[in-house]
Amino acid sequence: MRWGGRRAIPLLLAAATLLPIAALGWLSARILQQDRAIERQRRVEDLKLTAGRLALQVEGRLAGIEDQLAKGRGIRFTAEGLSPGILYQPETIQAAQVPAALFQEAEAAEFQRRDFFGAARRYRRVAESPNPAIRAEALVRLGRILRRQNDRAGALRVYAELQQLGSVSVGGQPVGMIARQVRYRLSETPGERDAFRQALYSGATKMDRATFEFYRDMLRDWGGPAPPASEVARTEAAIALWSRWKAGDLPAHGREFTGHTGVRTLTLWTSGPDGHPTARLATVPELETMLGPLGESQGLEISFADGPQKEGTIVMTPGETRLPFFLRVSARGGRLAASAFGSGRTVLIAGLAFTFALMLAAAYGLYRATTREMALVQQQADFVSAVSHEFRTPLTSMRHLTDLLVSNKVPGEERKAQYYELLAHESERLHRMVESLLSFGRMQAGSSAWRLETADAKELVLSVAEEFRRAPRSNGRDIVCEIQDNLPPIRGDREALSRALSNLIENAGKYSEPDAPIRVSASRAGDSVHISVEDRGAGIPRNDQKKLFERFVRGDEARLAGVRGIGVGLALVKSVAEAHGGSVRLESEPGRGSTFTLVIPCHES
Amino acid sequence: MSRILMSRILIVEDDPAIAIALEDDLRLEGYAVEVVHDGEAASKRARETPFDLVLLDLMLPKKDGFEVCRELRRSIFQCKDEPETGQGGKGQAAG
Repeated sequence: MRWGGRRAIPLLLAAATLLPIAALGWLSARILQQDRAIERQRRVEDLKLTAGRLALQVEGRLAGIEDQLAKGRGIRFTAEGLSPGILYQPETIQAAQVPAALFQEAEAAEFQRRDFFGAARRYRRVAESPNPAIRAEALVRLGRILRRQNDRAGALRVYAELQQLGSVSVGGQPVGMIARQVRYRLSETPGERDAFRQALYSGATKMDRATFEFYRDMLRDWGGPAPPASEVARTEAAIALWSRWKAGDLPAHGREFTGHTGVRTLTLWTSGPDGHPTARLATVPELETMLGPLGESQGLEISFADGPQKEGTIVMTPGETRLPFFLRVSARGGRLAASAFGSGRTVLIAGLAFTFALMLAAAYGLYRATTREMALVQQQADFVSAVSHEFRTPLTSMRHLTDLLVSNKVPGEERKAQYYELLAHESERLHRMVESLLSFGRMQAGSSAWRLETADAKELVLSVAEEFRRAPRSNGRDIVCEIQDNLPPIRGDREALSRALSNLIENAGKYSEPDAPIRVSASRAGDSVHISVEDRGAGIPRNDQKKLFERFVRGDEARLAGVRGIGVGLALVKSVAEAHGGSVRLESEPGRGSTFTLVIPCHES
Repeated sequence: MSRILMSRILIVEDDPAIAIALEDDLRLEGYAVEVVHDGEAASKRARETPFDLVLLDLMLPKKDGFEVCRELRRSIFQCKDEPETGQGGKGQAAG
């Protein structure tokens, strides 16, 4: 029962520790989980908030564009078509009517008389007209003659002049484009081709769709690029809007996000007081360049892509934002204001780990304390039982012997003398035990009870040895004393030191054969005096050596060998030595014997 | 002295005071008493001579009481089962 209960204690302790640890672990897992959920929630809220702000800014940007539109800055709609800024016009552009009579004379000189100089002179004169259409017609013809005359420099000058007239058309073609095309043909440099492409795709020159496609194909033949899809989409969106306006079903102002030729385009328009709308068109790539930096400044990414969005994207509908498009916003790099929460979690984890460590340490400490306490309780129980047994034995035999003496049944005087001797021996044994217990009590009370005085080690050893020799318990055993000359004086409690030494000698007697001699030696070693007691007994097993000096502990061998004792002798020796600032040493080999050495510091005088 | 049949008792006790008191007491009661002081002597004596009673202390020098008891019991069973103890008689009771 007792042992079962004891074994159960570590298990109970483990359970009592593991249960709260498990509970704490579960709780902390829950807390961390919740913390993470809250953090995610907060991030989403944060993102929503920022996204809402961003939507307002985008709205502000659009309103700003509309203000510009109201001032007429943008693509203006007129009955004929649209102001420059798009690739081509919705309607066919009619050639300007130039009176043919103006060139009659010059053309006659050019074609019939082959008088190129005369013709050129005449064309030059007509080209001085203030009417750009007439000038353009004249310059085109002049350029043609100069080229025929192989006057390259002169022709280039004329075409440069012609280029200035820009959108004026000759035979439905803008003269700007005619001039650039010829300049490339004359020079065939990449620079001229780029200038041609630039003029064609910038939308600066007004031309109809057929003309645009004609030049576009020409550029392609020269190895130039196709027009940007975004510009085509813009143009198509503008034309669609213009057609609705022409048909009369376009509101005075509006915002639209529509798809043309596969590219979605944002269209804003506002009509002026004259009823002519001004529009601004932006395709998705343009919108991205326009609004991207706005989002970037707040750590956001704006997307106009349809379809599945990456995780953590906030989608705001036109209903929410009053914008014509869905605004899809996500945190740049997927993170947003995570730092504050991160450090909070670190603190939490650190705290939990610390608590775990603390609990484990406390449990371990508790376990150690409990086992130590239990061992002490066991030792005390052993002590009480040993003490009572040790007291009872001499008392019983004394009673028995005195009973026999009193009843006068002892045969013969010699036997009686034996009885008296035994009685003396037993009472001496009782006396020693009581003394031992009293010293033990004094030892327990602490060092204040010691009476320190200068003592001579030699005299001490000799007197203790003599006392032992004379005592009946020695059984005539021999004690060999080896004492160094000129031993320094020591400082100590004579009585306590005598008792300690006599305990050691008694032990040596108890644990060795009656005929084996006991050797007591005293010598100086450094600042101390060593007093050793050596026996030729059974020796002490290594694992017993350390705990031998503890209270109430008796060696296993001693117990089995039936040697009597209560387990306080060596504890007393140790405590005496330590009270004198010294120590006890033990050298022992099982089967060979043991040597106990009292180390007592010299007295400095 | 009053007893016709003297029972033999072996006292095994290492404490001289207890041993002497027991010895005298039992002798006064009329038993033939013998005293030994350690386990080895006890088992030697008990094997040499049959005793009616062995008073055996447990904690003894050289060999403890349990050991002595075990040895004595074993030797008794040997006498019972094995005839080659020198007596030759079958089923001779040993104790």
